[in-house]
Amino acid sequence: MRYRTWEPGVLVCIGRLTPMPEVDAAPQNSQQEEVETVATADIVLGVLSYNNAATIAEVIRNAIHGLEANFPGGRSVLVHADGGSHDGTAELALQAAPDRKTMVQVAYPVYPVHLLSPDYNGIPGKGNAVRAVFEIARKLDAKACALVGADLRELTPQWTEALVRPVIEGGFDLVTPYYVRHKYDGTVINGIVYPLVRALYGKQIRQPIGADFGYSAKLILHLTQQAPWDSDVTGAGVDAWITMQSIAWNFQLAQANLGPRVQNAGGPPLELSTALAQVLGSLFTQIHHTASAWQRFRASEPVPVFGSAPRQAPEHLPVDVQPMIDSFRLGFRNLREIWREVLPPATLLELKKLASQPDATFRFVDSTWARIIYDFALAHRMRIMDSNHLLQAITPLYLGWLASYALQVREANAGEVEQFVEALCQSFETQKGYFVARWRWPDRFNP
Amino acid sequence: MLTHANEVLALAAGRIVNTVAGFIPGLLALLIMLVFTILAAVLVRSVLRRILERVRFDDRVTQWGVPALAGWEPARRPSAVVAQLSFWVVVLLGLLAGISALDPTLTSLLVVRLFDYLPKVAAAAAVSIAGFLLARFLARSVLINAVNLQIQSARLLSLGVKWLVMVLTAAMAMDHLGIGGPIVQLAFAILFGGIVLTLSLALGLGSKEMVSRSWERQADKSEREAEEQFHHL
Repeated sequence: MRYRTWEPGVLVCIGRLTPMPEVDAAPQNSQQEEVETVATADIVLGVLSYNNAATIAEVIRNAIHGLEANFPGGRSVLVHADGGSHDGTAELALQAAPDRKTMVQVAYPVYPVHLLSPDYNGIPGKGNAVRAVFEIARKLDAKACALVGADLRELTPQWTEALVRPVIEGGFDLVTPYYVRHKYDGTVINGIVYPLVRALYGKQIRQPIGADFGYSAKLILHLTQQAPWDSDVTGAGVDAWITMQSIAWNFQLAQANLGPRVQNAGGPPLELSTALAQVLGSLFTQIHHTASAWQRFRASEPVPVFGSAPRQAPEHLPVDVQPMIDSFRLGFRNLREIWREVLPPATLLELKKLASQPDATFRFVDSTWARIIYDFALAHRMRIMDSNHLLQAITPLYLGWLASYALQVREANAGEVEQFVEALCQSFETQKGYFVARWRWPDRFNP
Repeated sequence: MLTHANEVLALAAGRIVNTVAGFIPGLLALLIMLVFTILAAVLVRSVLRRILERVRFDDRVTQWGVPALAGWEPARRPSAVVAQLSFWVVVLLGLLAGISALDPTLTSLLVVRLFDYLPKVAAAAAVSIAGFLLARFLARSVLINAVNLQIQSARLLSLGVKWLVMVLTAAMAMDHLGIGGPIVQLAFAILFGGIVLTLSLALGLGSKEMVSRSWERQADKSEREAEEQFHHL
């Protein structure tokens, strides 16, 4: 495997992507001229890919069709950023473009660390890819930019409209996705990310992290003017960073109703503890960096939803919660000493009672779960232990919560599941005072 | 004859008296030095203990993972241990200075031997500290990952890894200090082999269900798809 070690920058190829191009002054100047040849664009649609040969062609065709059908008067450019696929994704993307003059393929820095530890979103060095697309959008003076993942099996033309129209016509700066998901999909989002972001930042953003977003020129300018993006942002944490930056700096937020997100299975799924560590690590890091912002929000407010995609969730198989309950109990038996460094005695006592409950009545209290997440966020900030150990140690607790959630929503319909999630969010908001107090005076609450 | 015997006795007594007379000042100097040294050591211990309490040394050591001293009695807290250590260091230095009053060459020899041995002590201490930290880190890594992989004997694996690293560290430290020689090497080999065997058994017995599930999944892909019941993200 060859590693690219060029300086973070943007290499633009109009037409065929040349693998591993060398970086020197002459080629960059000619590429700069090519960007100037493209001149301007009203809308930039970024497609991020990595080994998505099975779906990239369909995604590109549908995305371009969506732009042409919904924004016929505007000039649209499709920017394809590939993370070094070795299954012909880049070539297939180029072949799929009906008009090569409206498609730009861009390479971005992929460092060894991005390849050694795969990201949960499947794109190595996603932050660098996003930045590369943003730079193109700025150079082309685009009014709006949308990003979609290349792993989608069903990207409809309405997706691009839902992500872009609120920016162009509604004046919004960040459009987050609002998927229709089955109750057993996106459980980390339902159980941790959504309640946490809602409680701390006061915005009811249903999917704060994901793969499909819309951005305004103003937001892109702000993000690209930030200090050099650090390793957390250039990797898997870019979504959380963008969402929290947008809230902290009072940008206008909207949500796009995209319907179900059906993605291609791709390679073997990332191990749960690794994925959880990446997601929580990026969240907790951003919470630390924006501490002055989230402490001033008191209550949450809804974020407007645009788009008219159908709200029919895909079917799903029944689940078996026994392995998750067993994992929780195994974690309680073996990781109690580690949890003791993070959680107060009262929480440990509740976990002890939970571990001894019969399977049929296994119930994780919402307030306990909220406090556990807050305690881990604080422990991450205080650096009580190696952050990887800390974040992976939460996996059995998450599985315990998930088992409890699955048991409670087993017979529930979509509306009842949303009520359950809403109750969980209320618990997170209620427990925010506990978190703020511990954050401000950590010495007083040492477990 | 009696006169001769008296003269010899008188000479011998005189030599003894002279030797003692020559020794007593040095001894007095040593005792005075010791008294002042002990006073200074008490002062140093007291000041150092106050400083360490002010900078919350005990809490920081706990965070670094130094094993908790039994009972956490006040006299055995890390700050108390460090303060007591400083007391004895000052006393030792004072003793060396005092001995020089008795016999300057003896002190020089002692100091030379001590400084010859100090680099080995420093190397052994560095190896011990590094080994202890590594053992703790690896033990925790193994424990968490084994639990997440649902290996029932996770704690045993973790302990095994920890003791493996600590036994190796102890053997290296003792080798640096030149203690034990071949006996230590033999004992290390026996212990190391025993721990590796125990770990192998623990891993094999504890993860046999996981391994068989993995093989079954490889053979039947439809079963694998059914088991992926949650899309967490």
